[in-house]
Amino acid sequence: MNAGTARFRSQQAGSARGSVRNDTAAAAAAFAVVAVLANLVEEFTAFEWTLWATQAILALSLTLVWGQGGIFSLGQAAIYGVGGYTYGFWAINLADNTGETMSAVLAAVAAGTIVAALLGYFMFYGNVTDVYVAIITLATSLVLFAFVNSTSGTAYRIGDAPFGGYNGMTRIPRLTVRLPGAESYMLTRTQFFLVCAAAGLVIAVVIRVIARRPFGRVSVALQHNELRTELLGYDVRRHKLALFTVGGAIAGFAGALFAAWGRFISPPVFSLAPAALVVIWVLVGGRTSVAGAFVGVLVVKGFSSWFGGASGDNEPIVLGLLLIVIVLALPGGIVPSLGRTRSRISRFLASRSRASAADAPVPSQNLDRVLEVLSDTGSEDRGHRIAVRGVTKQFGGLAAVNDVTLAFPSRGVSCLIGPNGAGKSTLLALLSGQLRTTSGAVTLDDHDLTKWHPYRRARGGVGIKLQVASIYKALTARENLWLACYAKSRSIESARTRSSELLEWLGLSDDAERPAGTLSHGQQQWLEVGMVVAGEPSVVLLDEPTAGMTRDETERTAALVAQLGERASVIVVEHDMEFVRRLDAPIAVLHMGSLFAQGSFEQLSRDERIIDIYLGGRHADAASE
Amino acid sequence: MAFDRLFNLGFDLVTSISVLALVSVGLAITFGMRGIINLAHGEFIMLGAFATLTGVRNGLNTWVAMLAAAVAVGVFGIIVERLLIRWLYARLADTMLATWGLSLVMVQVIENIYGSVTEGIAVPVGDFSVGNYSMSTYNVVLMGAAVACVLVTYAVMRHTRYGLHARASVQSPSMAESLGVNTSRINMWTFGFGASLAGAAGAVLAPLVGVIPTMGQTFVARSFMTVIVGGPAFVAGPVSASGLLGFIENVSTNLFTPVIGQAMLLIAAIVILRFLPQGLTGQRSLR
Amino acid sequence: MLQASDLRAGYGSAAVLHGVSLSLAEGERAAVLGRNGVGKTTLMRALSGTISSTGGTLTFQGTDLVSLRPHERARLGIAHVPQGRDIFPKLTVAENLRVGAAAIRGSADAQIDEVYDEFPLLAERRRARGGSLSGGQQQILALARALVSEPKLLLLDEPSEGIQPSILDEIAEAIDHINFARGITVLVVEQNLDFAARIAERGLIMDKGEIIETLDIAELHDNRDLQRKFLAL
Repeated sequence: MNAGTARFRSQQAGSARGSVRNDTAAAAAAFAVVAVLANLVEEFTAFEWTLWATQAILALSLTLVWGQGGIFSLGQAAIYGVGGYTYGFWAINLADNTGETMSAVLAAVAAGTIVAALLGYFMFYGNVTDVYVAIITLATSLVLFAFVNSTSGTAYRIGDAPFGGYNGMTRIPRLTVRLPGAESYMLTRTQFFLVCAAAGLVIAVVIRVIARRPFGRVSVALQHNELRTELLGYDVRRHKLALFTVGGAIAGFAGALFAAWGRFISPPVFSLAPAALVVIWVLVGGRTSVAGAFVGVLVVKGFSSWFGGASGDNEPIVLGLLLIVIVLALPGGIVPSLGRTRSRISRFLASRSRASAADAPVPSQNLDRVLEVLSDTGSEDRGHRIAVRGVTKQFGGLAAVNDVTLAFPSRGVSCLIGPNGAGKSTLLALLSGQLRTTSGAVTLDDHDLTKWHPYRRARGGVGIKLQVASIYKALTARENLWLACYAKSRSIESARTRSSELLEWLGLSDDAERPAGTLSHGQQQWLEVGMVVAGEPSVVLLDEPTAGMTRDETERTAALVAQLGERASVIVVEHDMEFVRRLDAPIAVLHMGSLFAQGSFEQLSRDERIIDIYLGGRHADAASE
Repeated sequence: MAFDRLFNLGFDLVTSISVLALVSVGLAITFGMRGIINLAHGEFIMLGAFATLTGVRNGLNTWVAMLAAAVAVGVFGIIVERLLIRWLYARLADTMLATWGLSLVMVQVIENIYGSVTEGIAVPVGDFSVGNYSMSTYNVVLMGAAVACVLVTYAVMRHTRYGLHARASVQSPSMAESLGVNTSRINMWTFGFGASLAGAAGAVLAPLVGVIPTMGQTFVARSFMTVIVGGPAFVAGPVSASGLLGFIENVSTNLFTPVIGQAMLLIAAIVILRFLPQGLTGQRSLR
Repeated sequence: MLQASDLRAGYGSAAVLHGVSLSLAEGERAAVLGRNGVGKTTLMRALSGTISSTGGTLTFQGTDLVSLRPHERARLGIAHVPQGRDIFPKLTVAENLRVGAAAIRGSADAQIDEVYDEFPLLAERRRARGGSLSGGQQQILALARALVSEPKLLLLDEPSEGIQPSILDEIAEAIDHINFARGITVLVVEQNLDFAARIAERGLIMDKGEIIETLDIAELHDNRDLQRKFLAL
């Protein structure tokens, strides 16, 4: 059963130390092979290979931002270009004085970082998404292309280094090192190649390490389900900015190496073809794998030069057909496809043992240990009161929620019911921050939450379980819970311990290493509740928690909710009236966006008007007057 | 300012806008309606130019050749859709990859057939003068073609059974399907229609630009910008965007250089998208 | 005419229908009732083909439906008016109706004229955009649109939701007329018992993904206890 998750393990959790050792060993072995080859071939061949190495590093920058973070950037080649030009400016002006060009490389990295940070801020804090990130990064590249292209003439220069316009910048110094107190040393071509190869392998290992660290795991989570990541309390925009900036540093570094390699850089590096090529390398190799970056560059460039030699004319045709074949037959790229054929059998085995709703384990009754943290001692009333005051939410001309004022107790369960379209889910979304109020205020004790983003409310203790289970289906159950725990504790170890406890409580220990998407529907719902509880909320919002559950599961959920209510303020939206009756909690009835009635289940079930608003008809209008 | 200079500037401006509109309206159909990023769009334009060239070489009247070229590229588009695109709806990155591969193949195949030397198509009309300025009458043909393409698109979308079903499918694919619309078929016709508009653009531009296999690449970036900035409305989108971006590009070109003009167009696109993420004809915000 | 046996369907890993069996005779008027979340809309979607069924059989006038896509079922004569009406907001009333003709070959001018006769309200506003109509008007439009293709089976999902009583009368009458004059079989999902009683005779009560009871709607309408048991708190 656990074998089926080999694929996921290689990307996510697992013992960190062991894997770093494996990665470093693999990288060292690869470097050894490369070093041997480099010394066997002619220097000119090593010189050619150097270009591929710098391009692999460029591809790695995209593997990081896109493969891990889901940021589809067409600007990596442009940042590469910025790095190259920066290296050129710095080296041409200062190399004679300092006797080395390492500082130029650092300057290039800094330039790449700054450009990425600015662009990232502009995009992510402007809530630009998906395709538009691609468009804006591409447009920025093309603007740079246009700008640099027009810098011909001696007027355009920094110090001794002219931009060179469409002819480009020439006579860029090669990589020269100088240890303190020693002489300058300019690397031979073979040595430079080895430096580039080593740098590439080091960066690859670092990216894999990042993937296993909390930062990388949050990036992956963000990619799979950005909403849930924000609702757990992560500042997703800042995270994307940080990731994109690191990608920019790597691309800038690659650009510096490129300029030092060819001693030349020109505007076409900013144009459409290179921008798309980076994407193509990464797609061909497989965007979720660092090996993919190398494989992609090698396959695409290898094809080009091999066919370029042999049948010259038809090389693009072959390359083009190769791309089409890869898309149709090997979706996800080469490396992941190879991995898939290996684990196909194990996956088949895993899916066979997929739990059915009938025999799915259910949460144990013992919540105490897990929920200890929700309140220090039973006697102290540390709960928080969430309330809405005159909130309205308009969609166009329609008021989904109309001037509702409700205060919820700091502890205990409250139910929110009402017919379709009454505004229940909208009200929950206003509490969680997913929607902004058109007017009115949302308060938590004496804090005004009205303008707070969802992640801030999550950190402030408001957790929500959405109507449609919003979990990370591609990640394991354990990983799901770990992310939720880490958001609160920010400690890897304690998150690990807590997620194990939660897994046990939820009855998911046996299925902990399976992708959450293969769990039964009821299990997914509970997993999400577990993720919400992991955040140690003082307010728990549950939107139709029993939707799609069997009678048994519903029973258990009722017990679970009641226990949660002993320690936090739980607000439940439900349609299942049996469940509501079982909860035996104060109920608020919404009708057409307004608060219609409040009371206990007994009171309301005797209220003729309530039955009428559910049944509709003439009585409904009379009742709402 | 003298009238003739004003006229000349205006003429130049309308030409720029027309070119942008011509190369964008076909892309607006495929991207706007189905979210397909067709990186081979430039090559469809190129194909239209070469098809026209072939027609003219074989004795067809220039105008007839252009029309035939548009149809031919449309047929080609349908074939591409059935063989390739149809498997890739909703797979954004994969469509990019596959269409990029397609564009490589197309450029090379054409180069193999026709060689890489520039061929000319004689400009079928002459010049005219206003005051001190002489302008090519062909630009008027260009403007007319742009208007014609926009009108044809409008007419097809508004007044044909296909157009009605296509628009319904965009607004609610499941409802359209429930009513009996074969949405898969509609996708096929849509891609073909977009392709034929691209082919028409190439055909009309052929006498003006050098007909070489790589001619499409200069249009790809600008047409994408125009379509994205335009937003989801399939006629109002590209028209308004080409007007706005074309104006900015043209004025910047006249004040500075063509390169600055291109840069300003792109910067304008970036700024507009930052504040109107759904384009000029899209909704304001998502929250 | 419509026969479902042990029909199962759901969304992803969530199974909603756990084996629905029903049988509709030609010209019949039946309503699917039950509390929220029991699977009524999912049943409609499985019948129209909007979602695929995962088990069981479904036949319509002898033809097996399970492998047919929605547009193919529409061409067989099944019309579906979903919850929330789902009219095309940017198309005009006239265009909405014309899309309704997608299931038949050739033009539907005659059928559209008939529909204008039946619903003068639509005739008056034929050039208005669908999105500018009120809820009740949209419901009439959705209904009329379904009729253009002259279907044999009409699936209506909560036609009364959000509609004011005066228009409800009109809608109920129209459905009556449709069934009586054109012989169209009607299966309607409803929360509004009054309305359901007006347009249907047989009631199919659903709970947790299955049909648990079949009874006369008139009986249910008069019996408060039964209502409490099946439909309300």
